[in-house]
Amino acid sequence: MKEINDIALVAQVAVFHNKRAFGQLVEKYQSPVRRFLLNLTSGDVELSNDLSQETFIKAYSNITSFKNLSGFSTWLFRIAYNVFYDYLRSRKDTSSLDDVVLQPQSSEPDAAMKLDVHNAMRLLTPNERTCVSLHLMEDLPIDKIAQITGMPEGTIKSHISRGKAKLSTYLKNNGYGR
Amino acid sequence: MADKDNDIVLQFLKEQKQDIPDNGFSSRVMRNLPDRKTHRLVVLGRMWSCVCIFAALLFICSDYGHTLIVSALDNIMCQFKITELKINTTHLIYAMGAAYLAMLGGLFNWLYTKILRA
Repeated sequence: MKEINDIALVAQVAVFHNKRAFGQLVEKYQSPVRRFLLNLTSGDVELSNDLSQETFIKAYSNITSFKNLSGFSTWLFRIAYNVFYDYLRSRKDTSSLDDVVLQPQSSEPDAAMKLDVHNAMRLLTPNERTCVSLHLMEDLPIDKIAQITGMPEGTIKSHISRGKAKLSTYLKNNGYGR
Repeated sequence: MADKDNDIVLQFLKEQKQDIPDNGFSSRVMRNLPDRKTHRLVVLGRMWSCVCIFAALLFICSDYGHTLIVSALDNIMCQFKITELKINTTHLIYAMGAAYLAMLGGLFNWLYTKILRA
């Protein structure tokens, strides 16, 4: 039902250029997309909002290329993932993407001290962060993550497993769960 | 042990997962949406520029094109003595047409980048 509603809205945008219908899609998916990009940028609110906005603008501009092979949300996450990696490439063209470290710019003075998800996510590589965010926070199955990232399912499982191990060590070292 | 570690991570991420309030984000996106009709014009413009450049290249690579352009340039260099030109007028018109098309192509490309960068 959820997907049918999305498809009806997408059809209205694609055929009748109905901006109001697209507005409904933005309102519906702004939270998961922003949360996903907030995790990828290690809690940089300003950057994640800019990337989210770019994601929705790209989705709107290319809505006619949506073929409904994997659902609108998967398509949207794929755009968000590409937008984030384009941003990383623009920052650092030569080195490996896994080496790029994002410095969070939180407005909260005590944010660095807090045991929050962004501090924990900073320990992961971008690929691990992507897979952990999509699987454990957005509850997406492995096959959908493979469609979003273009990685083989085995690689995704490895990233999730390594990510979980790093997070578990971090949490235990900080006294979480005692 | 591994299961316990897994549970700790899952519990932590579950606690941290929260909906992000809109706070005007959606309306900001809607304000910045491009006009899709303009976007379509830009795409058409780009296609037209490709056609123009292709036509110009085709002409230049043809039997007459290269010779005509060289002789036309030679004659231009000879203080524009048009009356002394020993070339077919029709071919000269084709050459000028090709140059005009190439210029149009360039103009569309320039407009395209201007609109996109704006």
